Amino acid sequence: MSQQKPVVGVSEAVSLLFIFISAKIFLTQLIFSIHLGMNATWIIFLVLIFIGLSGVLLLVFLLNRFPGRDLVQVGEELVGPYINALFALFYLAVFVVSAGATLRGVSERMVVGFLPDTPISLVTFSFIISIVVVSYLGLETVARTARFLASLLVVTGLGLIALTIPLWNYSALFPFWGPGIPQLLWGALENTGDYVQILLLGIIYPFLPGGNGKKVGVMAVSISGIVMFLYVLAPILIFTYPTVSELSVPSFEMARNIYFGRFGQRLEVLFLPIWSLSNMIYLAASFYAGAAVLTRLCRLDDYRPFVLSMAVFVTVVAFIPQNVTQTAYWYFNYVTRYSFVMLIGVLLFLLLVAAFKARGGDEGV
Amino acid sequence: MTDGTRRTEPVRPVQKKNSQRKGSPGKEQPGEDIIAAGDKSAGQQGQGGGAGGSLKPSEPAGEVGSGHQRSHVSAGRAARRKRVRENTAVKEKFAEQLAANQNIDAIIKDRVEMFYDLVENRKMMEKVFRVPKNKDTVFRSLTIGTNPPVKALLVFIDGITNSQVQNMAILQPLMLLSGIFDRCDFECQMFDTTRAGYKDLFDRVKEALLPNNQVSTAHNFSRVVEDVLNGNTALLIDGYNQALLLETKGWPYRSVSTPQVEAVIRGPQEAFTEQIRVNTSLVRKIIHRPSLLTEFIKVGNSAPMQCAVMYLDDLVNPDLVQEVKRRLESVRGDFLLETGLVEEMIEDYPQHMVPQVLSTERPDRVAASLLEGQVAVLIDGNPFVMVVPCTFFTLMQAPEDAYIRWPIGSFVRVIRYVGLFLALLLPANYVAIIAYHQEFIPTDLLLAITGAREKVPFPSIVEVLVMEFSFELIREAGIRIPGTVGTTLGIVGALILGQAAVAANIVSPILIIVVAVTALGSFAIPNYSFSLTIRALRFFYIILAALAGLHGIMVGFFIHVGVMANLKSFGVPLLAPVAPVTRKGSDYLLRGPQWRQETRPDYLDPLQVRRQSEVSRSWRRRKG
Repeated sequence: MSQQKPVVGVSEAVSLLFIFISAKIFLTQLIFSIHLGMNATWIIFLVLIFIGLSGVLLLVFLLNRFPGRDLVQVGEELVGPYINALFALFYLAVFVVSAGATLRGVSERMVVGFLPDTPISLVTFSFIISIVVVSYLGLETVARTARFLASLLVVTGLGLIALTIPLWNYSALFPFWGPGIPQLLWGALENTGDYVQILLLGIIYPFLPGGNGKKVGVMAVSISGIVMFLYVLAPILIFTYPTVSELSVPSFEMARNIYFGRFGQRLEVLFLPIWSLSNMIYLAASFYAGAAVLTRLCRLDDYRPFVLSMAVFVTVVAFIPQNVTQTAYWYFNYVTRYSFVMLIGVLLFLLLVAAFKARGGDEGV
Repeated sequence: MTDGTRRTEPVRPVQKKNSQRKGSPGKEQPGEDIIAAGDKSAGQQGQGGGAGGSLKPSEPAGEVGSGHQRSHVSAGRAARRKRVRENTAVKEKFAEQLAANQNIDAIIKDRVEMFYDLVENRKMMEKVFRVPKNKDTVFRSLTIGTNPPVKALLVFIDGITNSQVQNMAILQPLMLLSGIFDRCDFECQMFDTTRAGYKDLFDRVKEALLPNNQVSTAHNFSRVVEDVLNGNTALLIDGYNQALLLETKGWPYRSVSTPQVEAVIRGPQEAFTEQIRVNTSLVRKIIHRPSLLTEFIKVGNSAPMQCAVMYLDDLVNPDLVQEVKRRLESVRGDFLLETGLVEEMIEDYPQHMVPQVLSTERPDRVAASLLEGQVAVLIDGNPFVMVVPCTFFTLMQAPEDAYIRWPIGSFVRVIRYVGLFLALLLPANYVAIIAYHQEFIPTDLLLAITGAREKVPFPSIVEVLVMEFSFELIREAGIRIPGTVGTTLGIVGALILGQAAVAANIVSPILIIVVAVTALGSFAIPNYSFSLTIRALRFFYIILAALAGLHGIMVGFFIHVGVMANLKSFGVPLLAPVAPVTRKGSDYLLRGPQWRQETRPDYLDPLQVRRQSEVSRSWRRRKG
């Protein structure tokens, strides 16, 4: 990929993947899930953990058959360059569209929540600069940065949850099944795209220590599942349904509502790293992954020229929607609803081809 | 190594050249031969320079643009530029001196062999040392009192040799005591030559007449000159084409004193000095192990500095030692006097602000690092020793953490990390909160701050920059001016300037607190280079905070962490063992108890991972 093959340890990969999957929980996209699950949306996110795990196991099952290759290379070997180009474009679209929505969402959040007089272009530009620098430095750097900041993010994130415990209203959990079990299961199916980010595992797989892909995937999905569950449950307990569905960023409102006497209020500034750093890590990983897919598509050795291309693509996508609500709505409609299903379809197709080729190979022998 | 032999037939390695040039084989003048060669080359150079200096277009330029004036002009410009770059005018003016210098350099570089004739050797040495212009070099003629007496010559540099050693261990035995055996009867002489096995007089002088602790033999002028420049004395004996190099180093140096930069309350109070041999002995004094190795490497071209590479052969990863030596040996720098200069030459990313080498003046810290599996690089004339590889966490540790009780050691480290945070981000946070995030401040405090800032006409960024630059100015001035005045200036500058600035409504009183706490935070960082880095970086954060508040700080922090995650020190990631995660001991972020320090850092890949047994306090084991 680059001049020197990166090496990503298990811990760095888990941190990176877990932040990559769960960063969206701090943006507006969550609201659409709450509309589906009402006060029992947290059950949807528990079910989603198992869906995410099954996706990871399928992905790892495929990749383990082709050691040392990433998902794009595996596709090329199985279905040839032309069909695989379609698959690769799908992966690229997932990375670009998700990153675009995230960039727009987090930039808007910064402007609305912290910098009301600052033009959004300056905020977006500052994000782009930092993300381009870090992703340009390579996968190792992105993963190590994620690992280094993961401790800070976990402490801040759990701190935010813990500080809101006095505000929890447990009666908000009832009725326990919310809209009913069938609707919850349907809601889970509609939200499967929350785990489409496992795609990153398919890109970084060759750089993981041998045989640890499954461990990385399972751990990352489990941790991010728990984080997402907590960040769905806490706002429901604090604001109750349907108020919670009217908030643009529930985690931000949680931080605003913390009250520990006259000196312990309006603490959202303290929790800024949650929104800022987690999404910068998400975007840096997206830039790298998108650049890596483009590198494979163009059969080049170095991903770095494509980092700037990714910056352009993502910025363009980020500013296509008219506002942040439309961004979140489009993201939910096109990425959250369908992308995971499409990914599973691609994986199953590739596995079928692999099985067919293996059988054909055996017969040939 | 060849033994000295009495001249029967002169062996003159450069005689052929000489005869070709001068045609006078009866008189050996190898030096002149080289001068001639130097002259010739210099002459050619001069001509080349002249050609370059004239505005003649070169051949290809003539072909391409014979009809184009522009190409002539550009060729002329190029020639002029070349002339300026190579300083041709000076070269032409001092052509003779340049030729002579080249000639002397050639003697050293070509490792010209010594002659049998003492007079010729003396002439050559005088030429190399520019005698009689140079008054430091001493040529002491003497006669060795053997039977028959033999002419000899001592060459040394006055001031860097120990004259007492020269008198007692060289001159006295050679001039007064050397004839003792010769005054014996025939049997005694037989004993001398056969039983003791001396091949000749040179061997006898080396083995029996020089009670010097270190004696070696040199066959070429290069080696002799190098040793003489290092404070040794060369003994040249008539009729032998080699010299004896005698250990007589004796220049003045500072004695071992207390650490100036890394002071501790509890722990050893010794610091390195400018003498490399004293420094190696200070480390060896702590580690009594035969596996502690010291290797010497010369670094630098114009004035090569002696570097010592110290490591524990049975602990350290051999690849690390190999890499350190490879980098030091391949340095082609001009003059590398200080560790900071060598550091830039050997570190992985010299363009970054963060130090990737640990510099320390404490032998106990070096010893502890060697015992972990690191490598120390000592440079002659320097009281700071480099330890590689180093990590971010190493830069934040002080030796005293280990000497005080471990919970207190951990507490001190936490305080230090808080200091790091304050030094890096407090002024930036002040700017961000005052300018962008006022809602974060409780109302009473906000009113107090606003009241204090009411009369200040500047925006917060200006007042912060003014005070931070003033503080840096006081700090810099305090270092540069003499000791007592410096301390006074620090106090006067900090108090009067701060007080006056508040009284003049240039800054708010709360900012004085911010700047003072920031300064204290930066002083809490134990590594001086890293502290300077943090001081410089905080200005970037202040500007980012002024541009985009806390979001700007977060953006800067993300880039900062990303860049640090990318850095490596001799192949070891700077953020190890956190990113990447390697096996952690109980001594990286906090200080664990001594009995829990069971393994060496994983990222160093040492040959022996275990540092102490699992049950290090074995007295607690119950018998039976």
